Amino acid sequence: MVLEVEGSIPSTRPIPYHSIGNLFIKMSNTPEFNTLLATPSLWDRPLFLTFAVAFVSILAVALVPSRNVAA
Amino acid sequence: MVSLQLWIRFDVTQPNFQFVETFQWGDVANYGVSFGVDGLSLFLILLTTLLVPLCLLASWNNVQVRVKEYVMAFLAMEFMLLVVFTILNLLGFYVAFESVLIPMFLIIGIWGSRARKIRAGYLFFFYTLIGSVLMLLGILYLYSVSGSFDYATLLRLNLEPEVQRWLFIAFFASFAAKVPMVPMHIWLPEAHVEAPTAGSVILAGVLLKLGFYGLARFSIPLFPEASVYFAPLVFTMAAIGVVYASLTAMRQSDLKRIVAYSSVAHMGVGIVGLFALNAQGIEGSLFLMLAHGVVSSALFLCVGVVYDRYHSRMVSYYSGLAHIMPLYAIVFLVFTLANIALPGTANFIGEFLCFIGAFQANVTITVLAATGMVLGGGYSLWLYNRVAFGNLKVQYFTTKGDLTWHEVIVFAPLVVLTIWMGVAPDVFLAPMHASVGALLTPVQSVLGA
Repeated sequence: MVLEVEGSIPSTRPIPYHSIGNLFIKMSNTPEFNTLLATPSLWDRPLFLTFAVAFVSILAVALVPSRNVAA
Repeated sequence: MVSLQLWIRFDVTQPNFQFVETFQWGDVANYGVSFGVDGLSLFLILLTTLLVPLCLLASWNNVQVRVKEYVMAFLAMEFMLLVVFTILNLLGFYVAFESVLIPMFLIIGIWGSRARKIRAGYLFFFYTLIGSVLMLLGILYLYSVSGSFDYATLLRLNLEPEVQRWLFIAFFASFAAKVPMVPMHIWLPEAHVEAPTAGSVILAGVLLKLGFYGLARFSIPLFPEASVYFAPLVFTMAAIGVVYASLTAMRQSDLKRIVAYSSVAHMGVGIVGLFALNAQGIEGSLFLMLAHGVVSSALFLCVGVVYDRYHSRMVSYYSGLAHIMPLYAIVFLVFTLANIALPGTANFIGEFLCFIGAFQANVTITVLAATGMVLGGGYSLWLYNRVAFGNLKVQYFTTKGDLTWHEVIVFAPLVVLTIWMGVAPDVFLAPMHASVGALLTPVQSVLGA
């Protein structure tokens, strides 16, 4: 039997903020990451900043809970 | 907004890559990849970062299922497109070039409008992928003779003319399918018709430019002798494509198909300009790519506006929309006139420069391609006349309102850009001069020899 669910219901699956946060902390402690962010300052690197914004926006959307569980 | 910094800080006198970012893996010298911006890629990057947010805004109300995945597909595609336009490594370019197919395939296949969307998705995927396999073989050959995928290293290669010709064909197969050039264009109208409005916008606005960018970035500077050798063949294919696509557009009954065939014709004019292999032609083709990215995207958005309201794309369904949607009629008129390259709009500058350049290279082809402009006037004005003027078909229409504020926000930057590029083209041409000069140096040495 297939249940038809109308409208949007919030996702019940917890988002692993904790583990993602840990991953970021681990990444930010690596020497490669520190070198990446070292001189010159970020504002003098518009291409890097463009990529960073594009990547962070994907990540931000990925972390938002899905509204269309029924679909 | 962040990417505008690239334009503001861009040094127009510099022919080399700017804002270069190099990422090195470990201590191995050959395993690194660089990214940079020059006059060829600057405006394609800005076009990408402009159109993707506009696409998402345009989809605000009409995408109801799997919204998160939809947004992610667009943002992933934006990221891949930025990589394609900036990467200075041939293998990295190939990977990103192919990766763009995946989100677009999903957008057509999942959020498309009809059952044929699956077929359209596969057509899009296979046409562009089969050509790319040849390019991969070409890339592997280049690695075998140079030991590097680095763009600067490959530029210094001195390949035999015979080898250049084979490699040019391998690369051309991939780029020509992506542009698309007739006869490899079949996937484009199918993909456009079945894709959601925003999918068509990004497809026409940016994805078609990938093939053109590949030709300008890799084929011409890496294989200058072969580019000169094959220029008459490419000219002929492009000119036939312009006339064929324009005539085909005239007999279409689907709004999106008309705009799609118009895109094929405009890309043909761009290719004619590019293979003129002179400064006016190449700058004109680059400008036309930017103009087409704005105007064609806007025309697909115009089709999307009426499709959202009346759920039909048949030309015969519409008539007299100016009576009930005056603001829409004005916006549609601006982009229709831009599409036929009316002086004062963006397309005019691009097409005019393309034809000036092409005329110096081949008069017959220029005359043939220029008929595309006349035919373009035919199908564009005919389309506008049918849709906007005449009596309102009251048996079909219930008034569903003019453009919403949402839609006005989407159209406003595109209208401003279309007119700005038409009346002040030098703002956009200045950053291209130095890079086009550098691109032409190896070609001129071949022509001079």
